[in-house]
Amino acid sequence: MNLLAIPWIKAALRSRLYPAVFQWITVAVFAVLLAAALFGPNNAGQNFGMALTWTVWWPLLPLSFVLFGRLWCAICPFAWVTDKVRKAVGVELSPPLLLRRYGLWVIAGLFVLVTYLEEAWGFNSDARKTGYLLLAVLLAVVFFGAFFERRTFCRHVCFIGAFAANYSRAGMLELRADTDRCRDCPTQACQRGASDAAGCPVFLYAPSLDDSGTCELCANCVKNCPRDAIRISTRRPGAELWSIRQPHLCNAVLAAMVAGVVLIERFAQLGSWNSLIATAGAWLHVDPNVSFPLVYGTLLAMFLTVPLVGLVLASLGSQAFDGRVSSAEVRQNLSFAGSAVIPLALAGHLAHGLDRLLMWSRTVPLAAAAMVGWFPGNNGAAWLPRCGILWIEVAVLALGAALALYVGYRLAQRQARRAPWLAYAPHGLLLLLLFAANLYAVAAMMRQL
Amino acid sequence: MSRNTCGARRRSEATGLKLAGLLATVTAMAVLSAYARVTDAGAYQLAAQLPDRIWKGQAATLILRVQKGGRPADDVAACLAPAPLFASEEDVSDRTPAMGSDLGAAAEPALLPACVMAIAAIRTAPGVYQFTWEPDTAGRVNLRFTVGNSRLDAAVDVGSPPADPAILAAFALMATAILSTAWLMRRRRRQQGGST
Repeated sequence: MNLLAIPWIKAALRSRLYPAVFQWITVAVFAVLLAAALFGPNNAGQNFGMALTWTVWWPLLPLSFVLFGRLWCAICPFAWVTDKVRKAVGVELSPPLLLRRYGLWVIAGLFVLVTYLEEAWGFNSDARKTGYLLLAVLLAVVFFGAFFERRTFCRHVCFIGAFAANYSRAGMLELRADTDRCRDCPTQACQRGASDAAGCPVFLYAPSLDDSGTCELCANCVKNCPRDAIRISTRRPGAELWSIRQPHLCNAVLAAMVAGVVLIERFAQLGSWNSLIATAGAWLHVDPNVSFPLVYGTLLAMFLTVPLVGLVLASLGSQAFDGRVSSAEVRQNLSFAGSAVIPLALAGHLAHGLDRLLMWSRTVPLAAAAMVGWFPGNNGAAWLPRCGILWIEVAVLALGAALALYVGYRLAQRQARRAPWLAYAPHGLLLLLLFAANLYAVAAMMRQL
Repeated sequence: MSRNTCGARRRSEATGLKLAGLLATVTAMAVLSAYARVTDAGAYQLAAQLPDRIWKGQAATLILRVQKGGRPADDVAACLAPAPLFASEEDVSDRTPAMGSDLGAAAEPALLPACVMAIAAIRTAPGVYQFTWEPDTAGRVNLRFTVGNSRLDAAVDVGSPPADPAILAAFALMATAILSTAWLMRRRRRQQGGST
């Protein structure tokens, strides 16, 4: 269904107020968050900004990518800062070749770094550290906005892109152009811009768009298109994953990495986590209390590596069953198979986010009260009984696993020369193992109750 | 001396107690306010001296004076159990080793009768017991001092240390440098464009 066929949606997206109005709101909220992080109470639970960030925004972010694609990126305060800096002092250089070629790997590296900082150095539980991290990101945004054209930071650097792109591919919204109408278009205003709006901030050319991983749904192309060729349509979740034509290897790696990050965050909630830390410390011959960052870093590396190695082995097995074992074939298989991991990584991420949202988001008003020196007592109870929340998480994981298995099979059908089921078996097994690991963590949490 | 049973969090508390010895005579009295509260309930009379300001993540020295029958009481076990009024997400969900003495709320027993889940004092003079507490929970915090069956409750405000001015200044400096460099580059480009 083309949402632009609905008059009020089309009018709203063509309005100059979109996405500006939403940006103003997010910029105002961001300013409050930054001030609270730098000058408010240091505790995550008592700091309004921290509580809002980590118990509401962060858990809802992956869901927003599924429902609305990368709409968040259009209204992100950093995008607004980029645009304002560009307007004021922008030099408008082309993005560096290094970023254009290896931007996804840069994003992957930054994603790992931020994950590490969050947990190993307590960035997500310490308001000041979160504030410093935000300042560092803001500085990078200012730098890229000042020297490079369009939203180079959003496209090639922002670590949220590590999962935003993949989740949006699995999502339910897509922006595409009617290529018949675009034929012989002399203006190419969707990419270059026109009088109504600037060109695509992330360098996309609408007629060649077949991937929802990058489009921010800023609607500049909707405003600019002289032939009314743009459509924004709803679709079945996961449809793009099994129909994708040229998947990037890095997206597969990112999907496996996100699956690993979700797992380590899950395991960190378990009672056995301390013994895992102690074991890792003994293995490294260090005191885990003194060298926690080293121990955590080692565990993180293991959790990141295991799904990735599993994916490589599954692709090797799949190609072996299909009678085609060359590095190029395995690499291509790996790139495609990564798409099947995305729904499971997404489900794990969503379930983990739901855990925070349903358990802790009621602390937000308490944190707001604490900011003004009022402590109404320990009333930050969960929205639902813990057991109910965990069962919801199981349901989300099961849905994700089912979609992942289906996507994997569809991809095998497309790719396999011989028996698709046989070529699919290694990836199916890997997906089931990842699902089982997630389920194990949730079940262990149930046992802890 | 310490009978902390905080499990994985023992290290930081132990560090705090080591610090107690170092900091004891140097900083303790300088930062202490007048007696916060006195109680003569139970067999002992307790009086606590608390700092005017306690910062989250920074060691604070607390002094408890214990008397029995008007004379300093020696050789008793004096304990401190902070019991925050406000349960934070961090305290409940955080199972990693804390950077400070985390005797937080909710999942952990809050107030206990003896030195279980509490910090034991170091006796520094006859009847004078010293605690070194490094709160990692900000906000209004209830402290309970216990000696035998006597106890003294006192609420203190734990604040958060402000953001490091050096980091803020570095950010402002770098942002200014980036913006001014870009502005100069753009001006030069425009001048070059205009002259050709």
